[in-house]
Amino acid sequence: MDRMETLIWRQFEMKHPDDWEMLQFGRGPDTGRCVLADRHQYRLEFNWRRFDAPPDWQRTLSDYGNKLKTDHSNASIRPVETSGWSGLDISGKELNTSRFGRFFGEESCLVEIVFIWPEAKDSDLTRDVLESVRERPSLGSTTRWRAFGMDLQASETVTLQACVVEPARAEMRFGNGKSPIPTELFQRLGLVPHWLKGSVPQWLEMQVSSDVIDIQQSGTTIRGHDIACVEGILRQGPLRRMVRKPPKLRAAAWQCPQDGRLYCATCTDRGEGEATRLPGRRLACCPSLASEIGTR
Amino acid sequence: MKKRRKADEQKADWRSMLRAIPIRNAAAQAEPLHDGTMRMVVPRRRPKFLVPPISWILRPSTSRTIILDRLGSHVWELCDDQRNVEQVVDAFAAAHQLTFHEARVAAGNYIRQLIERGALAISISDPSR
Repeated sequence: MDRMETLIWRQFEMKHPDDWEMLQFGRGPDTGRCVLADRHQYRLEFNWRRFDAPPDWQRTLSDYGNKLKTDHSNASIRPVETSGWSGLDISGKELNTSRFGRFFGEESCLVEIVFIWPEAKDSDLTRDVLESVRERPSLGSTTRWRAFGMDLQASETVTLQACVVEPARAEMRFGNGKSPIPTELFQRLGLVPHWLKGSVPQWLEMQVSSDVIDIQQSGTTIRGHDIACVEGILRQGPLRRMVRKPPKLRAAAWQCPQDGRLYCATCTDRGEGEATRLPGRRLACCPSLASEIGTR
Repeated sequence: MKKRRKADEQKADWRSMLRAIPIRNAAAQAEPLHDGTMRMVVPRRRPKFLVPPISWILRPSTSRTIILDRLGSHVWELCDDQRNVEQVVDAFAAAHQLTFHEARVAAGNYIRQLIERGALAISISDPSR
């Protein structure tokens, strides 16, 4: 059996073989889809849809089975039950998939997992993945996300607004959609020797200096990770400053000695809530840091 | 989940692309520069319309110069007429601490650009053999 990697997305946790990568993702809280692939093809779809009450999944399955029988008369369709999930095993010339669904009450979500098999179906892998799917409720005032090499805790008051994934660059931006504050940005940047000129503290200061005044720099070392931190007040017009307390920006960045990537967490808020915690303590790059900051 | 999107349609895989072998243009001249980048000169095909008397007036360049950054230079070095794209991607990923798909997209972009500029051609192997 392959080594398994944990994915936490939209308050659902799932384990998958560690050579699968998430190539498509949805941000929507009510409905969405993530797709994972091995090096050769798509292997798994994770779909979710919010319902007020448990939908009639058996009927949906039966309708789908009937449609498949019409569209693919040669396909063999067999109902299956695995680890509390019910679904269909579909085998045919053009289709070789297993489709499972289950309603999760706490999140009021119907989750559907589709395995796409390149060759023979793997019942052990099916069971291991399905058994690993669980709801991941908030950790007090934060919600945990784990994807694209980042293990992070975003404030409960913000939702995922943007996610950028490119070679050597993953960014997840959280906010409340209406206002630019609060914002929480988590980044993981690769190919560091190719673009980092100077030190990490210098880079971090350069990232924030145009937006922030009264910059204070500090640093700490956690399990071999030299974490540079900056803190300051967001630049605002004098009128705005008179009306409201100016927002604060806190950021932390470091280069992980294990994977050589640069990690950065930046939080902007008005000094309340979870963002007041040191941003460097809300993003983990590797197991040693994760155990230290309590995301494991 | 009424909309049965794509799952069954997503049979598309990129295996055939990974099996392809990038072949260097033998006429392309690569010159490594001091900072790890590379200058390449690729001869241009003479345009068909370039016949007298047009050729007496128009004198287009006979070659195209490409400057590759350090990553692009590395991809060019890995394309040795032996490795297929998957092996190039694996080597690129290992050298730069990237995941397979990060390296596939990055190296794939360089290979595509080099093909567009005539520095590389691609040999598609027949999977049935």
